[in-house]
Amino acid sequence: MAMKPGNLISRIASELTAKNKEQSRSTPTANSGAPAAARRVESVKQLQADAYDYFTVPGPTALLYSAERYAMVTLTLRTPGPVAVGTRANLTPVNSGKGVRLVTDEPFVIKLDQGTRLYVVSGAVSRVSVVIDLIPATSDIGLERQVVALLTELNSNIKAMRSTR
Amino acid sequence: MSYPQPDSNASVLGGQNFFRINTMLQGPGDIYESDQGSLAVALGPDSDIANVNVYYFDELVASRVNSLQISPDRSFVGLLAAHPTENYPVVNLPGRVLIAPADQFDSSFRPATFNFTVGVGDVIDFVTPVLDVIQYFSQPPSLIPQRSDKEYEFESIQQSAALCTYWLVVPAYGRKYASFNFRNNLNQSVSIGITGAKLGVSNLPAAAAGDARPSSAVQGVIKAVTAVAVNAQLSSVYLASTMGSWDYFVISYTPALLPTSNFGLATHITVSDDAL
Repeated sequence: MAMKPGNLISRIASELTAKNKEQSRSTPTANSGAPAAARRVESVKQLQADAYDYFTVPGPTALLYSAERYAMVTLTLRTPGPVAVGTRANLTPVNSGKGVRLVTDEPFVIKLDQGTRLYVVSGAVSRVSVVIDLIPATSDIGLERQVVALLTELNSNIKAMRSTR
Repeated sequence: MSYPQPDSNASVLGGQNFFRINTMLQGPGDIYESDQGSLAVALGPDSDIANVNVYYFDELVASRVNSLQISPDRSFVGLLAAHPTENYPVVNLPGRVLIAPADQFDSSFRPATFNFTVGVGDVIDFVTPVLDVIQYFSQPPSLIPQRSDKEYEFESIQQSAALCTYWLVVPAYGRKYASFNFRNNLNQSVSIGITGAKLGVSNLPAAAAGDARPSSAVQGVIKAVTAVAVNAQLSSVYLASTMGSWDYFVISYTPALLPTSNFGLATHITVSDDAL
């Protein structure tokens, strides 16, 4: 049975806010809370890619990147190295095989789960280009899917109402 | 070797994709080091030295040290890693890449007929050879190993006394062609000769009083001593294919008298890797 459009929109709003407690808490009111546009910008920033050059120092294994969110990390060695990377905390010696040896000018891509750390070890001062693409978390994707589902339902309801007239 | 040595790490931190040692040699036994490996090693364009030894840390050999030689005709392309965090055995020094000329340079070299008499003896000047080596940090699309042609211009000669000889020594390492042109604008005739010298090691005692070391070089005549009259020219061409390969071109100038002015004897030399 088709739902009335007014009820449907109320349901979308309530379900969206109820599913995400954090969002529910920060829902702007007439007197307080950040504007919705500002919150959207903040959300986009959290998923913004980051790119920089990392200079390795010969010696013990060092932390290269700690993934607080799901991330796809692309590493490109710009000098001869040797440089090895991996998720183990001890990668020494550099040729031991505990990490992956980077090849000069060949990008190496690795997907990191939330909470995973990426380590690096090198035999010489080296320049590594690092590009980090953050991947949206499942909860973010779930919210978007809900919106799509509800809009689809709204669309079908409107069509149904038109056909009954 | 020259101090301070160039820092290969500075090239990495500065964003260059190569490290270059471009320095005048200080003496026999010069050796340079690099903390960086490379994907190719080649002679630089300004090098006078033709053959350069490169030593590197190699875990596959018992001594942990291996070497290769580069020249104008042969660069080395391939990953050559430095291991400064590991040590060469016995000497216990970091496993850096070491670069040293394979050609000999010795500023104490004196020609076979050099007059060592202090005060009135011969005078000798060296054009100090340049060592120019490039380590490439990324794969070069192509390598042109040929060195640049070089030109030398001199306008004067030095004399300590009448009839003494002034010697000029110019790097010849591996050059295939050279052109020598002289013009005598002094007020007297000058005898000029050109020889090639290949340095060697000698075990002989000093040949003459004041002789710092015996002449151990093999010498060959490129241009026999020829008198050049006032306002006249002398030209000579050297071809390695017919005249052999030498470390130095040694030019002798013997004026008829002590010149009133040392300026006025023009020397123009061109050396090339092309057998023109």
